[in-house]
Amino acid sequence: MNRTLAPNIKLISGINTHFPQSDTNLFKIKSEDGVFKLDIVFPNAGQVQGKNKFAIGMVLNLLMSGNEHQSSAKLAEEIDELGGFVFKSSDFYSAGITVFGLNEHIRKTIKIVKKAIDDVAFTADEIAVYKRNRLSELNINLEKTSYLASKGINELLCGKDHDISFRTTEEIIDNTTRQELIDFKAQYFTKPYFIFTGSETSRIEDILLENSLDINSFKYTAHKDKNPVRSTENLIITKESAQNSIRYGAIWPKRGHEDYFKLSLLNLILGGYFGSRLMKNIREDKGLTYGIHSSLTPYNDFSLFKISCEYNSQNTELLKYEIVNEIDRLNNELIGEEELTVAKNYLLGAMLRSFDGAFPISEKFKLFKDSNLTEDYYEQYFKAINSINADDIKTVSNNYLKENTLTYCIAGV
Amino acid sequence: MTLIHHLDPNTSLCVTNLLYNVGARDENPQKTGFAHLFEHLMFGGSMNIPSFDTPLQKASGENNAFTNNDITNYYITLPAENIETALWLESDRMLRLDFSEKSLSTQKGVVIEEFKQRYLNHPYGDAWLHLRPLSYTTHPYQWATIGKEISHVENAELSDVVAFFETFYNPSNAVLCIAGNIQFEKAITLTEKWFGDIPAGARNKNNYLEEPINYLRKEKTIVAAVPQKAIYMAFQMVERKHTLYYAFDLLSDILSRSDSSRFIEILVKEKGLFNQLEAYVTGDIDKGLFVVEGKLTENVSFEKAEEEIIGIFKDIATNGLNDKELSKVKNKALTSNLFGKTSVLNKAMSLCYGYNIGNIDLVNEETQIIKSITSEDINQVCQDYLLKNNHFVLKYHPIKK
Repeated sequence: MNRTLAPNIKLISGINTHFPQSDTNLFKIKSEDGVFKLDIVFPNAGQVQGKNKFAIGMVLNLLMSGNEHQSSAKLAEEIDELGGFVFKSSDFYSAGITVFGLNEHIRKTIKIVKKAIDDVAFTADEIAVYKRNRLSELNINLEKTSYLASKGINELLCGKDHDISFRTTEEIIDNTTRQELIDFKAQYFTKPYFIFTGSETSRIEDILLENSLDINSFKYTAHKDKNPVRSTENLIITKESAQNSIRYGAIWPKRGHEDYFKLSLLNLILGGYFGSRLMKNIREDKGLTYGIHSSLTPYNDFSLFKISCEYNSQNTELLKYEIVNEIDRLNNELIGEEELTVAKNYLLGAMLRSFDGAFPISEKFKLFKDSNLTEDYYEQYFKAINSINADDIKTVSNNYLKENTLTYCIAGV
Repeated sequence: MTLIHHLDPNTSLCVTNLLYNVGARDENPQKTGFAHLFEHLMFGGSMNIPSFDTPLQKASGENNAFTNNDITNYYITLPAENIETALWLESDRMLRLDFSEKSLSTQKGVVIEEFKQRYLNHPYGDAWLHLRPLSYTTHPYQWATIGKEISHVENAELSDVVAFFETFYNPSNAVLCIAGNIQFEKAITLTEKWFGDIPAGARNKNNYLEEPINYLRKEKTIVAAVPQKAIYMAFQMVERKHTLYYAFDLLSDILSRSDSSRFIEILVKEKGLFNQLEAYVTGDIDKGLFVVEGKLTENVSFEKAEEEIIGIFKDIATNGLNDKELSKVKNKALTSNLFGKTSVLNKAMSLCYGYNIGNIDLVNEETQIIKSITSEDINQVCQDYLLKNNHFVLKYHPIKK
């Protein structure tokens, strides 16, 4: 046996990227695990941006907080008794709750959750506790260089007043009123869509209908992002700390643009996985950091490319030099076939994993719904990744990844 | 080496989980943080394979590892057809790592930055660096996995690396689980092919000094740049295999797992004493800790905070639990348990973990054990463990601005 020879591998030849189809606003994914998951997603809540985003988050987080007749504790106890969980999640373009529970109690669990949402009163006590706890969290965040640098780079890329730059302040927390919560709930927590994952796929429609949950299909308007107002300056935020946080960023085109899939692979090669150039050079060769990553976050009208790293403050110049060096290499040299193959195969593996099993598919499907993608998006993605070559990578790198298109923010000493 | 096979025909993936029976508790007290540093070195190439990650990524795989006080656990997920790549890679680094000064010095740098990122560079991040030595005087749980201090990581030498490898990284001290879309015959054939010729070595005896019970409350105060007061209370609890382990775990749920829990309902909301308050168990194999961690609201004294937390335990010990208090946390635990089993990687990890503590059936028995816990068990936990005045208190006090 020759241990130096790698066993043969099989390439991923196809991935079943089919999502559930539906004429209604209820999408069903079958699983036989004894448990169910119901996502109730409010895309209209994602239309609210800027400082009102805090109030939207507050409505969402207080949906299960009860009223004068039923405290949040009593309400939670009813759900707990059925083995249920209710999680809230707020994304840039939507807000929603996810109910987890046992199959045998599905009817009761959903009934309690729906009634709770209908009857929530936003009592003064619950509001006070919520505000107090958010302020405490904010004060902790303000001590973190990672928080400050992430906030800083968004402001540089999009402008301080852009929705993407919005962060809660003490003033916003203080000034949010109960009436705003009531109004926002009535106006924006409407017309949800549902993703059901579980075995009771034949009963779920009836269960939703008997709770007056409207499953009629509804067309949502995609939120139009403000134009980013990009600063060409860099930003240094001084903060006593054990490490510095650095963020580089640039504005890249939106999903659907002809270069997007190529940029997505370029991002992966530069800093999107453990085998990326930044990780190999800055962590695995030089030991300068625990982690350095790049990311590509799509919004409706553009995407944000970022590099992030926490490192020893004495190494700022070295770190910047090495990052720029890796960018220059992508601009000036063709990537080798082996490195390109590794990156592509890894990316396809990640895609395969995200479509493996009912619960991962339901997560992926939610992202898909909230991003207004076309039905065949992942099929196209799969094909595109396979066809990208070394010249493509060099070309998009030259078009989008130049040192002078990047801005950086450092928080630390 | 023990092989555990689990067939899951509903996935297109295969996972390997390789658990080594070695953790931070096996370290020399003068050279702590070593088991974790070693885990980093396991990715620096082995005798016959210069890079661990690249061939795996080429086979569309993903992998990671973690170290805790008890174990070091390595896991890989990849398309089922490519399972052999995982076994080839794992077996070669078990056979012989490629020891190099370069890899050691790089990973020391990485781990030192990890130390700062996870423990030093955010408020309260160093709590466990203080809480462990406060809670243990004798047992090696007295230091955190990352190490007592940065200098221990800095001072690690290549000879330590080789000795650690030779002592702990061998088939007798490991358990491998292959799970997913793979038949038993294939799993055993490939395992024998790649691991069969590795010298068996010896299993770690896992003998550690027992932590004495002193019935003495101890405390430590840290004055730091934190935005508000925080309190950590640690109580010595039972070992992982003890039946009462699950009583501690369920009690932590009764105290803080939901809006209906005692801490949230009474201390956070009704009395407004804390912004955040939670209870949890450390889950260690030997006697671990039951921990209460909270951020105090303005003008609340540490004395008051501690008194109110202890007051909740006293109430449970004196008046018992309400009707639904135990059944609701059991039902929630059941849901969590079932969800855990929807992930093939989770199942593989649980199987290896159960085997390592001596009960491979734990993964199947756990729900039954949870069901069998009674309110008397919870009472006993409060009476015998939480109300004996032998807990350890760590306080964070903000620097006056």
